[in-house]
Amino acid sequence: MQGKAKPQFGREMDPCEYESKWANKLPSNEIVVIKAMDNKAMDNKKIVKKEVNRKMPGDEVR
Amino acid sequence: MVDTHIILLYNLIGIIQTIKYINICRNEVLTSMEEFIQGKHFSITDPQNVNTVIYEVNKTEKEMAKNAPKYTVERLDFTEELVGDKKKKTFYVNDPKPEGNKLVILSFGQEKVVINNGVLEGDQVLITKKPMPFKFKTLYSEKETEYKEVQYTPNLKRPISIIDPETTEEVKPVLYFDEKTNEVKGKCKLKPFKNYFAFEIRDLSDDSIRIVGGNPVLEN
Repeated sequence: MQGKAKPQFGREMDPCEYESKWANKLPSNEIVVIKAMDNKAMDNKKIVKKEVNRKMPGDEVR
Repeated sequence: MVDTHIILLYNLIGIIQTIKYINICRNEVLTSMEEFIQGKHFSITDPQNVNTVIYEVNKTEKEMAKNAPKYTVERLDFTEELVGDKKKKTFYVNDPKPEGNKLVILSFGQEKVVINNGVLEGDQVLITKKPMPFKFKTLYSEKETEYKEVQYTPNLKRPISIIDPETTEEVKPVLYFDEKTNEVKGKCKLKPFKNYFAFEIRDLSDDSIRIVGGNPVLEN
């Protein structure tokens, strides 16, 4: 069985439609703020863990 | 005696040149390390039985937009560590942009996914307080199916992501060349008797986002 068209989200069920303003366009009482840090501030152990994570297989070419 | 001095001088010059060469190599290594570790990271903690993944959303540049998807999604790398019975996840944005990086946040639970958005701006990530839950509806296929129409931009980014809600792993498309349309496309195999969640960006502006998601249903 092969799909010939785009996936029809919701063709046989209610689709999930999410529509929202981006968080940076909302007033401060409607958002949560999390601290982001430079990767340079990380310890080596975490950088190594990131390297391992990056070796996950990507899209294959055939 | 003179010969010995000349030999020593040559050796000394050799050692100095070697030290200079080592320093050049060391600086190159440090520069490449800096390039590797540039970017930003932030952490969130998942409650038990919740698994959050985050995608960066991009509008395809005008030069590449012809016959290419208008918007693409790319999953952020992350590391995780256990804190008590909760998972602390650290997500990495490799290329922070001055105008901010737009993020789609999907938190998978046992029967639903909660959709939210956030923006990385400087040293903070802003996340809305009004996420939208979507309950999976069982829509099993009894046969293995293949979805063959995953489009790519010229720099190989794609507009759609199909996710296994149990593992939250992406179903990675295999790239192939479609001779009919002269395009590189991707195809995904979907297993029978299994739920998937797929989503794509339908509309995107500096102010707002519209996502459509659900079980991928294929026309025969």
